Amino acid sequence: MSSTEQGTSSAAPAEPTTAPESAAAPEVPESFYYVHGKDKVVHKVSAGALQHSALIHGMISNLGYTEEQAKANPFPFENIDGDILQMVVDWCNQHKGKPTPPEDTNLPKQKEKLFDLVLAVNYLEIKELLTYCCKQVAMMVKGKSPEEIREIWMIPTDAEDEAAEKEAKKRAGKEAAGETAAAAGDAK
Amino acid sequence: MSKPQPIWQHLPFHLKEDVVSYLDFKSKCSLRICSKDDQKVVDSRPITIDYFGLNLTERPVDDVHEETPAEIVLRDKNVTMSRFFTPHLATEYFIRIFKLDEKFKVNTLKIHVRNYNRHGNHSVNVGNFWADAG
Repeated sequence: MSSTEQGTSSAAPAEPTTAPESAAAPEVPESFYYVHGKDKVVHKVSAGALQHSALIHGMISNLGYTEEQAKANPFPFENIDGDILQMVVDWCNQHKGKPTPPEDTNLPKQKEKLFDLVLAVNYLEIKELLTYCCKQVAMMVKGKSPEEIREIWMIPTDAEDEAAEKEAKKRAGKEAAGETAAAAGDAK
Repeated sequence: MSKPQPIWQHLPFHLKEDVVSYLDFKSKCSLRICSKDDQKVVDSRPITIDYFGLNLTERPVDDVHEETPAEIVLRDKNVTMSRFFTPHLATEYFIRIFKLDEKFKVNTLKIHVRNYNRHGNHSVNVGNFWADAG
């Protein structure tokens, strides 16, 4: 369970103490939803924080879960690693109901993690975080030479690409031939 | 469906386009020659640069040895590139960039022409230039 739980309505004062507050609408208890990644670790996230994700927000709107139902059926994101989902949940909690700043310096510095985060954020449709991530990926190669860019982003040359493609075709051809031979053997 | 690997090559095309939009012109040029796929990504979007300038200075009358080189200056996202050419070649390149690539856009365009004889052979026909570039 995530340690970043939000304050619940039980912490709110039972009676308003000042005039302006009494004029305000009564505070609606915040609802929570549950998500888990590949590692099956369940994260509790408030509906407010999840608003950043267009995908989850759409799922919540369509399903109309009660809190009990949401607890019993966490949203599964099997294609997202647990640590990456934790990062996303933390970011959503930190930026809940706040305007997003122009820069975010808390993104991972390791390129594999950053690319993983980009894919996860793209899948979850979190527009603002995706912008930060794309900027961060771009900064990795700013001012670098083509050779340096190839090394940093692990881009194969066209010759390497063609060789890999040929190899894959050859392998596929052999596999197909093997399957045909096996089918012919079965028929006999 | 196999999961895309967390590397540049396996990012969806639209994400690559987003990343490239944050690169300066020089980095875009470097990425463009990394592979055919990257060339496609860079070429898929119009390129807008912050500043594009041509500096031309006429050779002093008493200097008969060589021409003063002309400079092409390009600035984008605080990265500046500058290169010297012969005045004729610089003017050619300058115009050709706009002719070749309609997606190439410039926020600030400056042409500095110093001491050139307005009726001489080397004058820059700005009227035609704009017509060609437009």
